[in-house]
Amino acid sequence: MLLNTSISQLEQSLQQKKISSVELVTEALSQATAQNKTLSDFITLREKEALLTQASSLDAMKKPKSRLHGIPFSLKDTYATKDVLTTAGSNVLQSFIPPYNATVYQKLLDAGAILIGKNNQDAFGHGSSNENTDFSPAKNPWNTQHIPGGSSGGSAISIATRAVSFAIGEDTGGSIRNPASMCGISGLKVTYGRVSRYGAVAYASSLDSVGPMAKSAEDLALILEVIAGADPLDATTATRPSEPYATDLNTDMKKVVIGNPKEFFAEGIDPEVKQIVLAAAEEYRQAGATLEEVSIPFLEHSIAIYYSLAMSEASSNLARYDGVRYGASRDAFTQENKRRIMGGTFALSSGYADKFYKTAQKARTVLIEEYAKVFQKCDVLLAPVTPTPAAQLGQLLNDPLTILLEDLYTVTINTVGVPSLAIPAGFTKNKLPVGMQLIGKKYAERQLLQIGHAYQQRTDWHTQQPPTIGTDNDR
Amino acid sequence: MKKLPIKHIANLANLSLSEKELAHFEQQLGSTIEYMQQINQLDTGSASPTARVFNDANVLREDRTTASLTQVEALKNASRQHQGYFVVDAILDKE
Repeated sequence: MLLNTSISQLEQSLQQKKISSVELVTEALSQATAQNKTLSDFITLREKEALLTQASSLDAMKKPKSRLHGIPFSLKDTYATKDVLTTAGSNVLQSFIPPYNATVYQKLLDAGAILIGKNNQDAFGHGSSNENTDFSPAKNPWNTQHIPGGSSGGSAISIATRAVSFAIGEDTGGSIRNPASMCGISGLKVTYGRVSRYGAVAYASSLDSVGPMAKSAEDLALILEVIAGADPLDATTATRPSEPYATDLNTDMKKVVIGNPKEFFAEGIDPEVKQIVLAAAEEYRQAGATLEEVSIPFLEHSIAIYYSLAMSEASSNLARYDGVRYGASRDAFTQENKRRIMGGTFALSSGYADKFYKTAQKARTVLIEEYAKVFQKCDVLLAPVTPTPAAQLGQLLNDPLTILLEDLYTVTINTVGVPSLAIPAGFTKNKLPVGMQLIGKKYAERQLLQIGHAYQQRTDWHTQQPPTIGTDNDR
Repeated sequence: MKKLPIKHIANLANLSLSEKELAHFEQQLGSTIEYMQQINQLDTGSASPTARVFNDANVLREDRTTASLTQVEALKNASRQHQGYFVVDAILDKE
């Protein structure tokens, strides 16, 4: 299948007219339609005719609009797409047709990439299993009895099964990295403000970040080059110029110091996950990197800190859904949405705001300082993405607190605002993918992608495909 | 911790919940909030609160008109409209 190859290979084949964008979107739509019945990774698939028209007009152009010209992708259903249904996975927005485009979508359109469809997700991003959706729960393509992770679960599935070349996810507390890890793909949570949030359905505005998901660090770099940068429509985008992320991905690992934050490997981590991530650290050591044990003491409190902030911001952001200008009434929120809205309302209410919201803001400062301190000693941190591999469907649903604890390793990164790259690091003995994350300093996306690329040059976890689509039965 | 004032919270959050839902959330939210209370034990020393992790401040643009939605586009998703306006429930008494 064509979509099993990297973006740069596709780019080359398209330029040499060995393949056409029409062929790519035909393959993408056929794969997506076939698997959606089982995996439920899409909420909306675009009409074939519209896709073919768009693809043939791109094929007819003499000069490519960008390196993503003619490449099929999908969006988490949290991004406003003009005249295309945008639900955020919720019945509140089940008939919402946006009158404008999110900046990230507009940039990809301008770059000549082709939107195949909109991916399933936990409603309003509340969840890390993709089960808190008002549509069918999405399934892990490696084992359909398991969750794909979330909240950007649909996007991770579509990439793992090669139904699209890449996708745009959204990460407030791990929502790109968690499903990337559980589905065996690569995902980048960027520095806060690196990519515009304009047109993204808001969850927690001081934490939300828009980022790419794809098969490899190399592909992510190409996408980031297109989507990063200041946006007059989002005053929190960084004025700092973006970088030529994809230009030179090679790096001398002998000059890299990798920190192993010991709290990320402490009690509660699944032994297989621990062993896989430590083996990845060893791979880096063999590549010449220096490993150093470091400490983030506040990690054990990070769930309480993060959720005090995230639920507070969510309660405020979701107050806009009043059924007047767009969307259904507030009764249509899921149980998880209502729980988070009420948790935040409580944390901000008179008499409790100082105890919860303000204390969490102070603890946020301490976390920022702890990260700054470890980054004086090392270039990046290497850590697991989630404490356990993908859970079975339904396993987490009845225990709201356990759902939150699954986010232990991902939430501090959003709280601090730094970037983190999640890439595949191995498989459990039951053949479920396990990822690791490389956490960097603010705006160190290029360095993270280089270090991730170095690992992917030495290993082939990221090239492996789930069995359900079976193009290679001999594996 | 004291009993969670769940009815009051639902009211503040503008959520209408059945008695059954109220009982359900009282239990579930209660355990989550109890867990979150650990932040009150933290020693945050002299740390000042962080509201944002973004360094640029006062991002302004030139004061000129730019393209925006038309009235028709803005009203397109409204469940109730009247002569080009959104319709909302009355919040004041007639008297």
